[in-house]
Amino acid sequence: MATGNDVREIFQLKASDQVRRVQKTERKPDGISRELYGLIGNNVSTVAFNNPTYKPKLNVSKKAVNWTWRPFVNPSRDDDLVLQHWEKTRTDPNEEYRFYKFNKSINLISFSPEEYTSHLKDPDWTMEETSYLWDLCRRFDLRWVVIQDRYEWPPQEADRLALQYYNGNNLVISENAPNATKKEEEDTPMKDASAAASGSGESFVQATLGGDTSTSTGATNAATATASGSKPPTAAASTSKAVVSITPAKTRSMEDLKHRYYTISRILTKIRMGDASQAVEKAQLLSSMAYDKNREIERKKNLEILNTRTPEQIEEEEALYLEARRIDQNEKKITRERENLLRLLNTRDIYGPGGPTSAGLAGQVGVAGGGGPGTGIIIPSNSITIPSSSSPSASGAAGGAGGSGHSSANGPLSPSVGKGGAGAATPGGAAGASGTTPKKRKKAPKGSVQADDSAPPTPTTATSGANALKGSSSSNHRRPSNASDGPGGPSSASATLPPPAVKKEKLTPGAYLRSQKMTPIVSTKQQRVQSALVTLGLPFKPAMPTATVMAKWDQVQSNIVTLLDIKKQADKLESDLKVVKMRRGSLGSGSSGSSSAVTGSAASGAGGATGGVSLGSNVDGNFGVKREGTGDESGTPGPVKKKKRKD
Amino acid sequence: MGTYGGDEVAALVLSVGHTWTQAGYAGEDTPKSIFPTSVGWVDLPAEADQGDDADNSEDTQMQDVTQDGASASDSNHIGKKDADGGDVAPQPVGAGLVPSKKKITKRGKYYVGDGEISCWRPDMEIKSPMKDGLVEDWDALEQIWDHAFLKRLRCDPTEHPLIITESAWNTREIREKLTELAFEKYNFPAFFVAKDAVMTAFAAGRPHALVVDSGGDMTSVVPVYDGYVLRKGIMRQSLGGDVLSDQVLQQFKASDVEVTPQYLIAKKSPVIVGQKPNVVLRDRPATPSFHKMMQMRVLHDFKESVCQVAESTYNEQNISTRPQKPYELPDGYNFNFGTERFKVPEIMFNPKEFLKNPTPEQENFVGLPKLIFNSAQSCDIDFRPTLFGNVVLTGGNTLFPGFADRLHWELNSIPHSYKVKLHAPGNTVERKCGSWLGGSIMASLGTFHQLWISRKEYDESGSNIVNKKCV
Ligand SMILES: Nc1ncnc2c1ncn2[C@@H]1O[C@H](COP(=O)(O)OP(=O)(O)OP(=O)(O)O)[C@@H](O)[C@H]1O
Ligand SMILES: [Mg+2]
Repeated sequence: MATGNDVREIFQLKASDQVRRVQKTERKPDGISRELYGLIGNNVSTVAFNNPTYKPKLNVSKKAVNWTWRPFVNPSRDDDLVLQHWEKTRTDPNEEYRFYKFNKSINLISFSPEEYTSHLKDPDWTMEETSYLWDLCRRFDLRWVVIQDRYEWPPQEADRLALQYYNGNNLVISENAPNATKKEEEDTPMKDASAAASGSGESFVQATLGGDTSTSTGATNAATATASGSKPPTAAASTSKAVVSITPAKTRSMEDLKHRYYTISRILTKIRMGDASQAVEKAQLLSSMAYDKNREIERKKNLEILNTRTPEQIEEEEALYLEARRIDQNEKKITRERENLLRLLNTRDIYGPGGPTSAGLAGQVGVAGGGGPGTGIIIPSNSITIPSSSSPSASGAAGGAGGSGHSSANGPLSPSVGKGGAGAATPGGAAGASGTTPKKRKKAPKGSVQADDSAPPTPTTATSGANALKGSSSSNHRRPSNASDGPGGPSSASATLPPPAVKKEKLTPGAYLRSQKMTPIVSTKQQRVQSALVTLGLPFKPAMPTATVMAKWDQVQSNIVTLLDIKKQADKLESDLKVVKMRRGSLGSGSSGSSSAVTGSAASGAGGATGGVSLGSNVDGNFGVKREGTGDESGTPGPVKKKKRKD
Repeated sequence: MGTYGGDEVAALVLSVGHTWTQAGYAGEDTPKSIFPTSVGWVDLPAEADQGDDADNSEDTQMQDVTQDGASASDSNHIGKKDADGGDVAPQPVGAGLVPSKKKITKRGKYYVGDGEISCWRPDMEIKSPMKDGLVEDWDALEQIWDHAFLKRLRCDPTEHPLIITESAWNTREIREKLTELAFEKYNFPAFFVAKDAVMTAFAAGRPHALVVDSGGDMTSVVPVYDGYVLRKGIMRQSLGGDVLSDQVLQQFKASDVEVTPQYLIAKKSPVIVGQKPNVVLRDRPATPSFHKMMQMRVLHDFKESVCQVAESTYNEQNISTRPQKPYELPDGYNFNFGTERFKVPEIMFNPKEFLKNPTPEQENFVGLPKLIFNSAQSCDIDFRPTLFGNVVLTGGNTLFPGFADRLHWELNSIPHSYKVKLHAPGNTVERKCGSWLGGSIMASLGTFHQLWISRKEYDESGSNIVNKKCV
């Protein structure tokens, strides 16, 4: 690589001797220690240089501090143990021990026997046990974990003595007896005790435990004596027996202990701080002593459950949580999709008679009203789902069912929705009323059997009757809705031609071509619409664009667009359904029943678009075949029929 | 000075484990002296002191004889004073604070310290005063104390407070006897007994901890709350380094390899891998306990230099791809060890499967993770997360490479929802001397000095004061 010097040479310049290597040392920001900056700054060197910048200076001018090995007494102790330590010579030897101030103990509210008898009685506790608890609290400074660990009632003799020793002579209760025992204990030669214990801790403990039991059952106190060194039961021992009341050995949970402690503390505080002037302080104190035993127990139980979950459970929980989050997030999207769907279905009705349109909307509202908003949304979505292969025959049945259904309008509908009871009838009826034919159709396949139960016609009759009924059945489908809406006028309309679409023609000034009046189709759909036209045997453009032809043409085209949209939706929903089904796994007949209902409804939903059968096969097979199907069913209601008619 | 709360009073710290005894001064970071807890004992005919031979120099014998005379009267004197020794062994010397390595009693002689006990003597029996964390042989223990204070630290016990560590399950009687020993025999001005688990937690800087200690003959798990041992959570089993070494011995036996300790070998010449050793043995009849100890030393060394723990579950396939390690026994036999070296420490984690020929007691052993889990489980539920977050690992037997990783892995694979944090000092000394170190720290704290049991308190209350003040 060419350096600056090379360049100078090339240009025949004098080599600059002041090519000062400017070592750019960034200033270290304040607040970061030099060492740390050396590690993280951008001047990190790979080799650590270790040239100390700090040079210790011998400070000859200052005299070294003298230290002395000096005895001291620690005022925290109640004996006068003299230990020695190093101190600066110039400090005052009589100064109080530096660490004395750390000797703090907690302030427990203690109680007198009188107070106990008048206020603190508890059937579950004796005074002795309560004061034992108090001793432990003082001994372990309210470290509840330790207190609970050491809690043993009735206590071992040695433990009791130790506690008493610690708590000094401020024991409230049973003052005399334990003292006597204590003295006795001290007099007993050590050796006896150790000789009595066989050296193994367990056996010793066992012996003592046995002692406790026997004491508690009211036997003599000999066992206690064993504990304190196999001496014969003496007067002292019997005194101590008198002290240790006859209570069965209890296991106390931490909640029991805390509950007792806080209850007593609260009571004592209340009694002692009767002054109104201390009210605030008292309230504060009391609230600091609040303890809800049951809640604590509940909390710990729940914690336990939480902690004993198996990994599978945890995993499942996490999965569920994620799912819930996902659903939450997708909710908007889903509702939007549903709205789209609804719009799609309703737009179709635009081409139907004016009445049904409004009826459709009203019906939907009615559904919502009937089943609550939730079901209201769900039902329409169900009604649109996927066609199944069973739909062709089903449509016949649908016709039948529908035919019979109109006489007992609610009957066939309610089972199909798949929820029994009066509640179901309402949405069902509403659905029927909505005039969205698909709904009714859907019912038929899954509900055909059920429908038979409620309504006279058997499947066969329904099918056979279907042809006959077709014309009327379709109109019947509409009928209820119309009927509910009011005048029956539309029925005739649906039987014959629907009134021409309400389409406002824009008046273009001047002369224009008819073809200009053609509703343009979105380019993305154009191709598919055209292929649909081909299968219908229609040319891309009408050969004779008269006004009527153009109107029809427009209608056909928009119907095709709607159909394609619905088909797309149907496909999507079908795949969704497949996924759901797969996830549900093998859930037996129950699930399959309901899913078939859904499928059936899907079929009819789709059927609504083209006319019952067609869409079912539509999805499976090719378009043309259906076309024929649709052709047969001249009675099928809806715009499709019109299309057929037209061709 | 005030900032760290230290205030040295030149206390002594003594920690007697099953395998090693550690003694030193409070405030230091390592024990001044570490020596084996085992002592040698030679029976001597009552008067004639003939026990020693070639290994012991003549003048030692002379010393012994003179001491013998001096101490006989001493021991008689003490024998009268404390009559609790029973007839098993009369109280040995000691009151006289005469530094004497070889304690003479009426019936025999003790040898303490690494150099002494590993020296071959035909009739020397080896014994350890500790069993399961409890003192079993008081005479031997006294020898240990003597050796520590008088031979090794060479201090005047009357000038120093003493703090010793005990196992968490120590009994009242033992502590009382220890107290008595400290005050009656050595005249310490002040004394304290601390739980080794608490001290280990202290050394790790934790008031709350779940202390996992795996030493020579015991593995224990002890929950510590704010400096107090939770008795109900103590879990222990006699599965320790010695069992592992014994298993190594069995492995060798199974493959027909004789483990010959150093003291029996006169001459050896190199052999190729896996071949029978070419060795000339010495004729040195020894007691079984001595032979066993020497054999164990070899096995310990083998174990410590070759064995390793699989970092996650034991998987024979993975293990067999790991590099082998060569090891040569004292007699020249050498071999490359592959999967075997992983199997031995695996016993700590899965005794059911890896412990061969278990005794009835050993059949009930559970793996260390389970032991830890059980211990934590027996504590209050609110305290468990703290315990799992402060697992402290200590003891020589945890020093196998990969041990801490494995334990961490195992603890995480037991179903629970706690966060496990394992504190395992990387420093070997710290791991082996955890409890000593904690004692050293605690005894040099200014706030601790109010807790000492003083001579006066002992005189007033007797030895059971220890059960009142040290809980
Ligand atoms: N590096 C090492 N690898 C494996 N094991 C070791 C290692 N170092 C020591 N050990 C083993 O640890 C054991 C001694 O441990 P430690 O020093 O903690 O015992 P101790 O505390 O005296 O005994 P205990 O705790 O049972 O009373 C011995 O069995 C020894 O073989
Ligand atoms: Mg140990």
